[in-house]
Amino acid sequence: MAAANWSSSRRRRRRPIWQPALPPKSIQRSSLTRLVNDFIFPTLLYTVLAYMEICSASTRSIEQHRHTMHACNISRNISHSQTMNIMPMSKELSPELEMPPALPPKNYKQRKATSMVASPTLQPIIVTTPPPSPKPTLGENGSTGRPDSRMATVCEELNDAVASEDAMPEPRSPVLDSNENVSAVDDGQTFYFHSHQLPVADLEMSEDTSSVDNQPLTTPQVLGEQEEPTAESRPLVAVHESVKPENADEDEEAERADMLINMLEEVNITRYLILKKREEDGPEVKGGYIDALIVHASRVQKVADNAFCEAFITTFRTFIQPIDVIEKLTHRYTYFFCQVQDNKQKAAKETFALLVRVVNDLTSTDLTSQLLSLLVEFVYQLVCSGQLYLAKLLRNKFVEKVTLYKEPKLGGAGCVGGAGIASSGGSSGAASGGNQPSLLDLKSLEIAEQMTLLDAELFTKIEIPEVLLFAKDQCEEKSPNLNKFTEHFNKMSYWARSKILRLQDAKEREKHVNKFIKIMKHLRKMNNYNSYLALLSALDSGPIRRLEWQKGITEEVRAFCALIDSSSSFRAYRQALAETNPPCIPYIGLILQDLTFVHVGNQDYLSKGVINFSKRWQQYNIIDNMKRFKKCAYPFRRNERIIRFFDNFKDFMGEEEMWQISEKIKPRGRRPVNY
Amino acid sequence: MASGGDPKWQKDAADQNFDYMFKLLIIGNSSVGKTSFLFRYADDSFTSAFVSTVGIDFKVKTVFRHDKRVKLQIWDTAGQERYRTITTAYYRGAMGFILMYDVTNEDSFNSVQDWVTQIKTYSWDNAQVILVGNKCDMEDQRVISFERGRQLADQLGVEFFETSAKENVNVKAVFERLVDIICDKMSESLDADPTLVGGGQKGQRLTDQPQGTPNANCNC
Repeated sequence: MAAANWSSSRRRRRRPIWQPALPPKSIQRSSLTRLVNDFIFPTLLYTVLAYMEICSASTRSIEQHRHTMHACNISRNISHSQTMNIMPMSKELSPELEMPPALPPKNYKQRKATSMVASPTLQPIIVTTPPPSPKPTLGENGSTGRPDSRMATVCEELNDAVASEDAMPEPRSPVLDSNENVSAVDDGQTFYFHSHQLPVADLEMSEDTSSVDNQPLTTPQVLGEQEEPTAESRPLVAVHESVKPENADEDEEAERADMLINMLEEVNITRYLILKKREEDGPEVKGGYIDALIVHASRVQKVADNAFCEAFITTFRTFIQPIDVIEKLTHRYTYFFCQVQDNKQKAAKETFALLVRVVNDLTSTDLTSQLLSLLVEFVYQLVCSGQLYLAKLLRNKFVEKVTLYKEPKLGGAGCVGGAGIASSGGSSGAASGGNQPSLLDLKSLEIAEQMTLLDAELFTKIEIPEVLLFAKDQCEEKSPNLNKFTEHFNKMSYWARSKILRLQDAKEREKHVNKFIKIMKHLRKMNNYNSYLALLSALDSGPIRRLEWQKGITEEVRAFCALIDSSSSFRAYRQALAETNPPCIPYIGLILQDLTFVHVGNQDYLSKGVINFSKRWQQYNIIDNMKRFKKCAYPFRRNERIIRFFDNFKDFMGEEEMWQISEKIKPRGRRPVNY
Repeated sequence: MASGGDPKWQKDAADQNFDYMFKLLIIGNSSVGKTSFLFRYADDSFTSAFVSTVGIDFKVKTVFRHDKRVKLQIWDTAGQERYRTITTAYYRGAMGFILMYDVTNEDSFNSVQDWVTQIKTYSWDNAQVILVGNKCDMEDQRVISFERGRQLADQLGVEFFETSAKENVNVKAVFERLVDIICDKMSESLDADPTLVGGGQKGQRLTDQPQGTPNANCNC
């Protein structure tokens, strides 16, 4: 932000929508934000809602609080309100709202006090450390702490150059001191100066970006409160004031802006992407700096046949945290929204569209209080700058998300074991004692349907990012839904084996195997590869396979095995899956294997700071195979009797025990002759 | 690295002419480095392109041993470890196992016994196993000493190596040794049971995975 290359007339209004906070409201707001930060998840929603109430109320009162207006703001805002299609009242409001400095001076002390309290509260987002040491500050700022998740190397280099040539923005404390606008400035100002200068001056451009992004976006009100009182002594402003002859500042700023490129503030970033050469295979975009990829994703959203944006949305978690993407997008939006040119307005719109998309695809684990407060802040900014329509749109999106994940979260605490299945398991306890049907009593078709329903329930809960991250970290905690799905598969397979092996009579065993074969045929027709393979792996498992079976059974199982034959990397199965239309439940093990191979076999970066997007493209294509079935809905009705019969598939023997039974039935000694 | 320097070990995946074909399987807990190990050995690339309908095939590598061309099919179930019930299907027809743990991960070492049980349960009786402690380059994080690994290997009656896929330590040695052991075992079997020898068919007969007969693995 600080690096913004604005026209000189707007120099002081650099962050119009970031300074909207009103004294009284801001107090409320910061305490609200604190609530958002501190409260446990379930209460968050209410906080957010309550906050929004206050927000909308505040828009009215804002008018009364503002007295000063700046001509440039007015014109800008009016033009915006037209372009952005804002609600009628916004025309009146936005000009005022956009002017932070318009705050009455009398509130100064009060606000300052507030800010002192507020900053620590908002600590993760806000710059709280004293100026001399930029790095810690940034560390706190950056939500990920991953250095590579920030800005590009190119920028770092450029920035180095800037830093060395341009003493002014030097982030280091000595320079700061020498720099002195600070001389006349008190601590508070130094603080502002520091935090806002960083973007411009920091040697580490990557860190810059974060601070740039973070500040305006995440701490609007706090900064607003602080800045306003100090009047014009805002971040950049601090520089301006101290150096007084403003022309000098302008020159320097222009110079700086020329030399360091913040890709988030560029309309066209194509030159920061590595594009596919004509003769090469693979995706159009092979790589690029993170910011460039983000910007590119926003630009190609509407382009037909261009899956880049989808691939980006699907895979960005492999190189940047959602909260950082959101920060960057809000920064870009805010930056361009304030500019009148059509192409910049278009950039703002595109950026907002991508932001909504990212928010829409957030998963339950993404929704940290930190991320939510970031969104709350941004929505507040939108409200304050009169963009009520957009504010509402975005708000609805994330409130929807919070609501969505709140439900399972509360319910999920109760049934630890197996999601929806556990709930049915609970009711089974009471009924199971009675007339428990046997496998043969139930219709094969119905059994297959109910297996499919249970699978579908678990399958739809799997979040795409957890599949992607599992291949990377193999961390079960990070992929809870995926784990449940896998466990379900294994349990079902062991359950089926146990069903067969527990039977004393060979004829009975044979009947059961035949029953499972019938069930599998139905599962195959339903495109439920998951249960199909679970049962197949049961019939094909050592302890069962080695027993003597009728020729028909042996041949049938052999024919089934053709589908999952592993030669040519499961060509048969892949082919079948490719020809399958939803609804379908794929076998996820193969997806995990493919992702693991792609992860291990490809570099994350093409060079320093340059993301290897080809790798993400491959990941996207693998995931897409699963994604296209995610919305599948089977039209079957739940049959409690059968669900109870399954009893969560929890009744099975251990492998050792099954093997013992198998050897009792047919002692070892020679190699099994059956199929 | 595998093909460089040693003329006996050549990479020629396209070559369909071979005297024997061995199916090898790398198993062990998640994240012990199985795939990296395999990539290190079969240093051609899965990396460049991936087609979702084709996937990545097991690695094929042809090596020369005692004047015989031995085609190695190396399988890696990485990513599917949690699908225990299905990965055992891979075991069928496997003649050699590289059972891997991570010297910096106690759990992976403790799981070795489970994996051995799986091998005994699901694989061919004569399948050969080598125990491998991977990531031996990470000395400072090591929790399983070489001695513990060796003792376990002695207990299990298998050979033992410590390796580093990252630093390329002993990677080739493991595969070479495994091939040797399988060859030795095979000649014993052949001596004991001459019917196994069927002219040019012997490789196929032994591997249970003849080319062009995809269902052979269900036929054992």
